[in-house]
Amino acid sequence: MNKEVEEKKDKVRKGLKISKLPKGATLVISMKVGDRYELVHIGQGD
Amino acid sequence: MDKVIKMVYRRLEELKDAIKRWLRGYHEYLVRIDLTIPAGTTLTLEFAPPADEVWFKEDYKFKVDKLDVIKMSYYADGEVIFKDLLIGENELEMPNLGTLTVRNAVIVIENTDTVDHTGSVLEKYLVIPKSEFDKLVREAEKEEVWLWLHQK
Repeated sequence: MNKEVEEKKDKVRKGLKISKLPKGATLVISMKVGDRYELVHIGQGD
Repeated sequence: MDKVIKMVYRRLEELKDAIKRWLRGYHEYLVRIDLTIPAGTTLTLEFAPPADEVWFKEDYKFKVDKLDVIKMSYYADGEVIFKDLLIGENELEMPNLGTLTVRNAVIVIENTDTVDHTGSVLEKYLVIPKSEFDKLVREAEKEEVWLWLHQK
């Protein structure tokens, strides 16, 4: 189960392309696993 | 008469300054996120603009590689804008969001298919400094009071 979730998270991370975020902006991507969410990516503008 | 012309001229100068401030402080910002949505997975994208800016959402597009398998929900500042929308077009557009100010945007994307898919989120915002926004709010409040007084 954990391995499957980790593989999916890796897929999302590898396929992710985000335009440059402005300074002070944040983008958080998470994945629903059962009734909770697991963090996949945190992006912050600089 | 000279006095009136001088006053009009002064107002024109003020207007020119206001336009310059507008050009300096206001701009558009485009956000693009390309992502893979694994089979049977729900992803949540939470976006927060900088604290010293106010963002007005102007345009929204979502592109998918397969129709009728991706469900989407969109929340702005906790308010539901749309929920569990099954994407039935390659390029979904939401052009009528012009007055929506955003401090926190949440997009929920669900892939109901048994294979992975890809999608792109494209958002266009009108951005203004928070200080300018606060001034506009004060001006709007004054105008509202003025209108209220003159409607009596």
